[in-house]
Amino acid sequence: MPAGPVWAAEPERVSYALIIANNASLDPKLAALRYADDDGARYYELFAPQARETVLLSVLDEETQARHPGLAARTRPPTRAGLKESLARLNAKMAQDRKAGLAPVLYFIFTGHGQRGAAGEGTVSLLDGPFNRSDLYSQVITPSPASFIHLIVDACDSYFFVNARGALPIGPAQTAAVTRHLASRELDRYPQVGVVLSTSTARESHEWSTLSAGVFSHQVRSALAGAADVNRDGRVEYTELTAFIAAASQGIEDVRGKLDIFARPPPLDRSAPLSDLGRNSGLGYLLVPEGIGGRMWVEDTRGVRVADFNKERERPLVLALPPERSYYLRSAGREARLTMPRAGAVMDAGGLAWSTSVVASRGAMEEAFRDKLFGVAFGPSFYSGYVASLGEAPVGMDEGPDLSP
Amino acid sequence: MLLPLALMLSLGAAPLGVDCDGERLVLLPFDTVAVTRPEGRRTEEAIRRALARTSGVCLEPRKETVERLRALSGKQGTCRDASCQAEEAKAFDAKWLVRGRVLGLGGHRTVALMLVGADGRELRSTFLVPELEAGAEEAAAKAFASLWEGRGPPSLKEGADTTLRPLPMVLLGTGAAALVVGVGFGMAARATEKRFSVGNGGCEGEGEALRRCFTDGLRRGERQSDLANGMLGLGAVLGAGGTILLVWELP
Repeated sequence: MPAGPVWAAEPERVSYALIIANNASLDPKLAALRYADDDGARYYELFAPQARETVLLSVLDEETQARHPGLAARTRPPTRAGLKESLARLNAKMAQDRKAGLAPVLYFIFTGHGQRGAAGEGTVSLLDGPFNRSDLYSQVITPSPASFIHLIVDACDSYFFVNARGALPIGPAQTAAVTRHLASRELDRYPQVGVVLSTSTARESHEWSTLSAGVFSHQVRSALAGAADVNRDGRVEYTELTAFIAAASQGIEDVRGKLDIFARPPPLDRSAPLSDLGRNSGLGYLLVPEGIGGRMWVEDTRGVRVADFNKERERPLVLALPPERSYYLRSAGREARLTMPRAGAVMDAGGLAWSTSVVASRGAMEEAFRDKLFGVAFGPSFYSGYVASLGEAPVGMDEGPDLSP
Repeated sequence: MLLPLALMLSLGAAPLGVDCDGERLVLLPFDTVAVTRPEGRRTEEAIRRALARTSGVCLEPRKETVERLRALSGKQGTCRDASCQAEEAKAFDAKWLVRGRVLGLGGHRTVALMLVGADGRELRSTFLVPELEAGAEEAAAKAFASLWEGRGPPSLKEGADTTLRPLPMVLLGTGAAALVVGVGFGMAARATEKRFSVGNGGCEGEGEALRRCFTDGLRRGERQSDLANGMLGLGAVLGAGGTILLVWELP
């Protein structure tokens, strides 16, 4: 019998997350953000149970500290020194992982204000000064021993924000500008780097008080938690994430609510997952089976909205949730309470007891988000159409149960 | 509605598992999340073995279940309400339907099981599957046992047990007979009363003989009346008892 090709065993992936969340603005003309720190805290709660180390650089405001008790003690201020020190520590650990034959994966996440500097370079705001693109390459990407780096940035460029905060966008399309910008510069030299960027014009216009979070970051977290796993392989790839966000934003007609995103998977492995529910982690899992569908969201008993999704009734969905806390699974007019008892537990939502509930919101944008955000069901049909329209290679679809005898 | 019948005919008129003394159960091929198909199949086979050795269960062979599924292609729904699930159970000619999903989450393998009854009722359970195959079978047996025990009293499910038990029927029959007899005596007492109240009750003669005849007639009427009341009371008590027992044992 001829021997088949021998593939080297894929090294085990271990992840690290460096989250920078900064409400403050360096520009006195720009108001501070309300929920960038909330986004940071929520990214932390999503990544901490599954990463070897998760670092949160943020100054949590009073409300956020009350929502996430104990978390403030684990944060450091989002300063250049803090970032440098954290990067050095994570890089040392990842280098050790490489020596041990592991494949470290770094998530570099920023949520806060962004600007375009005097030299035309995009920058993001740290507490004590800007952190520009050159810094990103020289301090984060180039020295990193990570096998893969996923950059997730929820910030805007002030070039497109010169009129007034919250004004309608003026100038060239942001997405096209960012695409050109990225393509023409260093990113191609780093095939292990994938990026997911919110390129909308006014970050604060995309904060939604109902979520107490930025809309883009909330969508990303919902996707990473498993809502974007269209083929049920437990992995969320870049095309799945972008299609999920496209579906979630599909119905929003108000231009202020439109999200522009740019995503590029690592060219080294375009199927590299942003999230892998199959890996060892300290998370619990909520199975929302067939028969339950429509627009739904999960909120914990602190009032932290963990994930939103619009599910097709015909397919199941699994969401990863931090364990040892209680949640509400909600849809319009009804809710079911559940407790995620421990890491690794799987809760079947099919067995939950539902009761009626009332959800209220006010304001034009509130209504636009409430009525339209996640207004379109996400599933294989939407995904296939979306990916085909982009000319991207789709993920292999699930074939259903094994019907061989 | 014709689908289950067509399936029955296509798969042979005789119900499957006729030799098996237990409740007919169909285990549908498992779905998977974050698990490869072969892994999902191995787990399903372990659970199938566990179900097959559960007492009181007649498990349909996988081959036949797959044939039914293929025949149903596309018609098998994802409904959640009891009536729709009952229809699905009927479509598989099953007393019980077991759906399962193998999930490879957080580095563990978990199985979510759902037991659906012919009445559409559902019971759910999730359990961790140990690495070793034997362990998987044991874990499945344990998880399924809790579902199986929680499905309700056997008399509610088993076809043979749906026949009415003799005691309530005996009570009802006796009660009915007592009522009939009571009514009979009542009518006789009524006739006696009528005879004596409008005439001489068939007594003739004079003096002592007439008085004795009258007294005997009245006593006979009283006995008939007492018997009628007694039989009617007995019939009512037996009938009520029989009805209560009957309702108690009805599915």
